[in-house]
Amino acid sequence: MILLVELVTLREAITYSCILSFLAVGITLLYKTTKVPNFAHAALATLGAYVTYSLTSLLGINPYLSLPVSFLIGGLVALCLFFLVLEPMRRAKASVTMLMIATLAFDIVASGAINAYADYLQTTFKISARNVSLIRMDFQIASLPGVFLTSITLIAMTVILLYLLLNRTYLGISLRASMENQILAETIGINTTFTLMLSWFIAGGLAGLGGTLLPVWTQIDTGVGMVFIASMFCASTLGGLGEIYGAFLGGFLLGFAELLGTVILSKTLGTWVIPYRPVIPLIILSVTLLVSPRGLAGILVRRRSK
Amino acid sequence: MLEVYSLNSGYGKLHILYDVQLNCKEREIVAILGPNGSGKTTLLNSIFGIADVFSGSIKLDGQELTGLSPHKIAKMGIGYAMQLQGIFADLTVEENLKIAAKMVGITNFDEATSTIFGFFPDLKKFLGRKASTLSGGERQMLTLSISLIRKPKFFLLDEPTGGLSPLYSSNIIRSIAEINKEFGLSIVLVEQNVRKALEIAHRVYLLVSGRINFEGTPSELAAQKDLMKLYLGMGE
Repeated sequence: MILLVELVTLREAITYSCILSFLAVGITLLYKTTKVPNFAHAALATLGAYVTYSLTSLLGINPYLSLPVSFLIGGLVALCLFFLVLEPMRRAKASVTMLMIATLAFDIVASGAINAYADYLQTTFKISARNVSLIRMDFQIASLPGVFLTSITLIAMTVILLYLLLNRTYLGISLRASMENQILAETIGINTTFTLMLSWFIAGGLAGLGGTLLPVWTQIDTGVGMVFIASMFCASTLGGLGEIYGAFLGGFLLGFAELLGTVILSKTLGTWVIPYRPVIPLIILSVTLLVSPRGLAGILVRRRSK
Repeated sequence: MLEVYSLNSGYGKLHILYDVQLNCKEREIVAILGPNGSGKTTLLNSIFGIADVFSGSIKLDGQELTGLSPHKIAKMGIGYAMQLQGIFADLTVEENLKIAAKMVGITNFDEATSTIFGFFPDLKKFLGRKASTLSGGERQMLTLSISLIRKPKFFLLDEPTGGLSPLYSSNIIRSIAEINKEFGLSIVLVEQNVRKALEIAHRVYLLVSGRINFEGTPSELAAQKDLMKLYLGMGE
């Protein structure tokens, strides 16, 4: 079957999987800490994409130099969502469903703001801001595109840094403690509002990073985050919604299944299957929920306990 | 001294405790007894800022606790060993103890744990293990240790023998009495095992349907045969 797939497609699948992992890990982190599926993650990814596009187009800098800015802005906007919307609702004892709908509402508002910003870019700076990409600005090393090399390096760094943060620092251990049992964490003196803030900042920042890679990899529009929302949630569920490292694994499995699956199917059944690519994550999501609702993490836990 | 005045509390619209008055002096073990659903855990949760306090006052050494968040109350010198969920199962035993110590500024972990291991030597063997792999009795030891390592002045204990074998229960109760003596710790103990609680308590409160029905010494309560029989299931 691998013969049906060219190396270029494999490279594309790895890049896509890395981007998906950045987005899925944030969803898992927030689900674990706040118990809320964050639909605003789509807008955070779009935001990251437009931060990169703006800085590159306006200042002419290398797109990858905007990575820290995208991380920071993504993190700060996620903090705004937490402080301005979710925290007041949580204090008013809103249910998880209400919080989830609030994230969806925030996504709609943020998408509106990004659309307005795109218009602003177009009218004020005469820069086209819809259906654009920065692929031509990307660098190459040994015929390998920069986005491929950068995404692999970034994902490896993120896994290592997250591991060190969560396992080797008191801040990380208190974050893990808060994820497991907020009330117990409070009773030993952990300020769980702070740990929640931290998790929202990290998740927003990672969504920003994922977003940054988008315009260098593909064409973006003001709704680019929404295009990937089903895949993000599917990768997160596939990894096991409660397992942070599972989200990375889920991101890779889904990324490969989605991209390679489409290529293989189009070669065997015909190109008519290409528009049905978004169906693949939904099928994987349905099968995961039916076979192992706790995702890959659930399978690993079952194996360990045998 | 921990003082509770005219406490009315519950969760959201659910009113559970009515005009509860209670105090726990220094170095004292106060047992809260009562039938299931009488509000014993809610009382501890109210003291710790977890339940909603509708009216009344809770003071620690004259300082008001109501309205404070639990993590602030924890830093004022109160430890709380919660019923059945007193450990972080996903963390290792060492991480459980380290994070509890760190939160009150204890940096010398070896020194802090040496006292704990004096009480619960078995825990030393499990330091690197995930807490989820511990047995019921070992979990309870870790629950107590998480609170003790923080060197609290007051210690709230909710059903420390819940779900344990009689042998483990006796060990835990004996440890609580020793902790009280050696650390000079004041303890508010909620316990279903009436006989064992009465053995170590200095004073007892009987909580029935959210109200205090009796306050006195264990021997005074034991003399109230009707209360013992009606609410605590202790017959002739």
